Amino acid sequence: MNVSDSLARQEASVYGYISDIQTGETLISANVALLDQNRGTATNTSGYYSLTNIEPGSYTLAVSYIGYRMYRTDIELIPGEAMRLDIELVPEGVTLDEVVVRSEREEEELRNIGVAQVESSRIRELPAVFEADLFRSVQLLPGVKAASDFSSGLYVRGGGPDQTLILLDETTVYNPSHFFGFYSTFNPDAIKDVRLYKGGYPANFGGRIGSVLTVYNKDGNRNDFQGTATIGMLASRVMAEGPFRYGSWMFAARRSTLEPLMALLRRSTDSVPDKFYFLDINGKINLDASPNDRVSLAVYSGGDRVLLPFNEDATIALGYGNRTASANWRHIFSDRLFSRITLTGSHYYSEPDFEIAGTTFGRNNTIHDYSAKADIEYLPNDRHSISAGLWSRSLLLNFRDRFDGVETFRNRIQAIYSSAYLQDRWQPAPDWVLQGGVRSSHFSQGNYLRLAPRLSIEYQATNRLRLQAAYGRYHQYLTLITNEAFAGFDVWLTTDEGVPPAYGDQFVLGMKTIPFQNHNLDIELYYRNMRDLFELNPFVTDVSGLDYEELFRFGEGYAYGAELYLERQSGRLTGFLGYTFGITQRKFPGFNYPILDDPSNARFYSPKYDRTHDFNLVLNYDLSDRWRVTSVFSYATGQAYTEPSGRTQIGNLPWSNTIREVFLVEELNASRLPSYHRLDFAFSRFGTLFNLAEAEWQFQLINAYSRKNIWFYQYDFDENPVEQNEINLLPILPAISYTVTF
Amino acid sequence: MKEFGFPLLLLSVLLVACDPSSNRDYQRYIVVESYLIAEQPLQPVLLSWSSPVEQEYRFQDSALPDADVRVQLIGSDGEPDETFPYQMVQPGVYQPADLPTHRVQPRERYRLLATIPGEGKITAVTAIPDTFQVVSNVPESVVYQQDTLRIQISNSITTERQNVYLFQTTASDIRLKNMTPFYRDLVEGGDSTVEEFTNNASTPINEQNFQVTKEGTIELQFPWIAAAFYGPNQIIANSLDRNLVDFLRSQEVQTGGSTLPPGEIPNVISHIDGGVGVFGSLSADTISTRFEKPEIP
Repeated sequence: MNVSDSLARQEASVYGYISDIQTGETLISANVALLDQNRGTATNTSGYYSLTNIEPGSYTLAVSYIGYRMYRTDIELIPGEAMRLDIELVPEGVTLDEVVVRSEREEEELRNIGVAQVESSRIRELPAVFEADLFRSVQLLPGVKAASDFSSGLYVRGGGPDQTLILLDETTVYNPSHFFGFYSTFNPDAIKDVRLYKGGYPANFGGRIGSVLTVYNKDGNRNDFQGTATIGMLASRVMAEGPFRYGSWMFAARRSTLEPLMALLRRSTDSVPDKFYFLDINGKINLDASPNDRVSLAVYSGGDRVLLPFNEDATIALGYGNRTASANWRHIFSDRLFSRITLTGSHYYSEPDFEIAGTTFGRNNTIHDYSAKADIEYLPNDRHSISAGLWSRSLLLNFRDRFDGVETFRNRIQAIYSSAYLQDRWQPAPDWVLQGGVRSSHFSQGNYLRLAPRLSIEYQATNRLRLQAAYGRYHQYLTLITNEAFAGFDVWLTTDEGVPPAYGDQFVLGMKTIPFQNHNLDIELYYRNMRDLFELNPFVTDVSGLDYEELFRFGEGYAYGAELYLERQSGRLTGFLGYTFGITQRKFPGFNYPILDDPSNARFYSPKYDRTHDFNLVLNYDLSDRWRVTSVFSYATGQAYTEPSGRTQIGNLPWSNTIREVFLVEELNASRLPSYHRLDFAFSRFGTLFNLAEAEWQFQLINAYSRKNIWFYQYDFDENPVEQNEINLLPILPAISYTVTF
Repeated sequence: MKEFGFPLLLLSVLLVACDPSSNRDYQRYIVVESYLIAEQPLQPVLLSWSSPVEQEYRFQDSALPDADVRVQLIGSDGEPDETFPYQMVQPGVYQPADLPTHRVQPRERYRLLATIPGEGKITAVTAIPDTFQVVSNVPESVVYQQDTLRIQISNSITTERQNVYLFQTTASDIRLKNMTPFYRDLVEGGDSTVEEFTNNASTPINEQNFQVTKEGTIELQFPWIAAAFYGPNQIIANSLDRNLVDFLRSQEVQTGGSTLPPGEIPNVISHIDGGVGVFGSLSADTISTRFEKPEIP
C-alpha cells in the first residue's frame, strides 16, 4: 500500500440527492459547493451529487438552484467518512420557520456552455396562442428560431428540426407536435426540467449534428397529493401527483376541446372536420426501493386525429402520434460510483389516408425504437469525474406508399444503432475545468462506424466571469421528411448503402458573467459546418422503382453567429433579453445553380428559416399579490424567400389544355420578407376557488398591435400579370384560461 | 443622451438590417417548347423570350422570330443521321420545312438545334420512348366506382431509368350535369370550369407502380379519380421521356406541394443548353370506353 492510497482512505466525501422540500422532486443541475474549499459540482439528471477526496474537517456546504433559496449547512467530516446528505431545497416565496439565507446566485453558478434551461413555470406564464407550449418558450431563447407562428419546430443554430434530438425521460420522441406542428406534445403541467444543449454538447449525447433537448417529467409529489386542472379555449388538461408507500406517482392528460366550436361552425360553413382532436397522456411511477436504489417507470402516449370530408366524394383522414415508455434504475454503489440503467421504447406512426372520387392513396411511416442504455459516473479523486455509457437500439422503420388499393412502394429498414462514450471532467486547478470525451457509434444499415471527439474548456477568470470554449464532432443517421407548413405527414428515413450519415463540427466560444447582482449575462459565438446532409429530393414526386439513394439529395452547409442572453431572475420584475446574430447557408447540387449553367455548379443559399437578427424580450412583473403581467416582444429579420424574376408559359402539352406557368429564378431565397415583430401580453389573476383551492385566471393577447407579419408570398396566375399575394401569420388573438390547483 | 447611445445604435442596426430586401435581377432567356411523338410526324417547335414576372405575358408578344431551327436524328455514334430543317410559320412557331414524311422513330435520339442571330444557340436532346399497345380487351362500358377497369399494355424497351406513364382521360359529353360528383362539386363551387376537365390527366407515374403479368405485360387499374365525366371517354396512355418527366415534376414543385418550405422556389429542370423550357417526347396508345352512372338504390 502506497502513501497516496493511504491518504485517499483518510479523505472524506459527501454525496446524496437534492430535492424540493415540498414535492420531493429531485432537482437536476443544482449547484453544490464546499464554500471553504472553492470546490463544487452539480447534480446529474437524477438529482444526485458527490464530492469526494475532501480533507477531514469542518465545512460549509451550500446548495443553490434557480427558483429556490440557497441552502447552507455546516458539516464535520471525519477521516474516511462517506457522508450521505440528502438535501431538500425550499422554493422561493415559501415561508418556513427555519432561517434560510436568500439565494446569492453569484456565489456559485455553473451554467455550462451552450446549455439553456427553460423553467417549467415560465412555460405556463408566457402568453401563448390558446395553449401554453414548451417549444414556443424554447423558441424565445437566443440561437433558436421559429419557422413561423404556425410551427413549433426548433431551428437551433442553423439546423433544421431533425437536427435536434428530443428526449423525454431519456426516450427519443420522433414527432413532438400536435395540430400539424402548431403545438408541441409536452404537457406543461407534467414537466419538471427542460434543458436545451444548443451546440458543442458533450459525449454523453449523440445521434444528431445539431442540438439536444432533454425533457424530464415530474416524478410525482413524494409528500402530498396535489393536482391542477386547466380549462382553455383550445384544450383542457389535468395533472395529479402524490405519494404512495414506496415512492410517488404522476399522471397528466390533455385533450383538445374543439368539438363545441366545430359544431357551431358546421351550421354555417362547409368543410368543417368530422373529427379533429389531439390527446396526450403522461404517467410516471417512482419507486424509492432503498436509500441507494431508485426506479422509475414513465409512459407517454399522444396523437392527433383528423377526419375531413371536403367537396363531394372526398375525405382526408390523418392520424399521427408517438408512444414512449422508459424504465430507469439508478443505483448508488458508493460515494464514488453512480449508475443508471434505462430501457426505452418509442413508437411513432404517421398514417395519412386520402380518398378522392373513389380512389384511395396514402403514405405510412412507422418507427419502432427499442433501446437499452447504461451509464456510470465514477469519481476516482477530487480532480476527475469520469463517465461512460453504452446505448444500443433496435430501429425498425417502415415507409409505405399506397395508390388505389395497391402498394406502390415499400422500404423497410431494420437497423441496430449502437453507441458508446467515455468522458472525463478534469479540474487541474480550481479555476480550470476541462472536459474531454469521445463517442463512437455504429449503424448496421450500411455498416457505418464513426468516432466523434468532444472537448470543452472553462476558465474562471474572476468570481463573476467565466470563459468557455467547446468543440465537437457529431454524426446523424436519420433524416426527417417534413414540410414547414404542415407536420402531419412527417416521415423519418435512415442512412443505408449509398446514403452515408451526415456529420459536422461545432466550435463554440462563451463568456458567462454576472454584470450586476441578480443578473446573468451570457455571450456565445458559434461556428458549425454540416456535411453529407441527406434530405428527400423535393423533385422526387414518385418513389416507385427508385433505388434508396435516389430518394435523396446530398448537400452541405454552415452556420455561424453570436448570441447574447441577459437575464434577471428574481424580484418583482424578472425576465430576459435574447439577441442572436446568425447566418445559415446550405448547398445542394441541382439546386440554385445559374439558369444556363451546369446543375452541379450549385451555390449556397439561405434556408427560409434563416434570420440574420433575432431579438426577444420577455418580462414578468408582479403588479400585486394577485396580479402579474407577462409580455413578450419579438423582432427579427424577415425570412429568406425566392423572388422570381422572369416567367413564361408552357401551353401545348399533348395531353392537356392547361397552361403550365413557369417561373425563372436568378437566385434561390435571395430576397427577404419584411421584418417580423410581435407583442404578446398575458395577465394572470391569482385567487381561490371558493376557498377550496388556488385558482388562476389567465387573459392573453397575442399580437397586441395586430402586426401583419408575412409568412410567404403566393402567386396568383389567374391574373395576368401575375399577382403577388401576402399570406399572413397570426392576427391579433385574445385567449383566456382558468387553472385550479388543489 | 449618452446612456441611450448603445440601445439606439442597436435599434437602428436592427431596423436597417431587417428592412425587406429584393433580389430580382431580371435576365431574359430563350424558351423552347416542343414534343416529339413516336411514329408521328415531327411536331412544331415554339421559341420565345421569357418575360419579367411583373409583366403581362402573351406568347405573341414574346415570340422569337427568324431563328434557324433544325431537328436531327442522331446515330449511335452521336453524329446526325438525318437533319430536318424547320421554317417559321408565324412569329415564334416553327414547323418542318419539308413534307411530313418522316415519322419519329421510337428508341432513337433527336437533337434540336436553334440559332438565333445575335442572341445565341440552343441545343437539346430527347430519347424517344418505345411504343406500346393496349393488349387487353377493353369493355364497352364500366360502372363508375363499382366496376374495376383493368388495362394491360405491352411491355416496351426502356430508354431511360424506367418507363414513366401519364394517363389522360378525354371525355366526349362535356356538360355539367354529366360530371362525376367530385369534379361537379369543384365546378359548382366556382373553383374551376367544366372545360378544364375535358382532358383530365394524371401526374407522371413510374412503371414500378404497376404489376407485371406472367405474360410480361403491364397491368394497371384505372383510378376513378381520373374520370371527370360519365359517358364516352377515351383513355390515352402516354409514355414520357426524361425531359418531360423532369420538366413536369420540377414545375409542380414551383407551384407548391413539395417538401420545400413555402416561398422557396427552385427553377424547373429543362435539359436545354442555352435556354429553358422543354424539348420532350412521348409515345401513346388510346382505348375507348363508356363510364356509366351508378344506379342509386
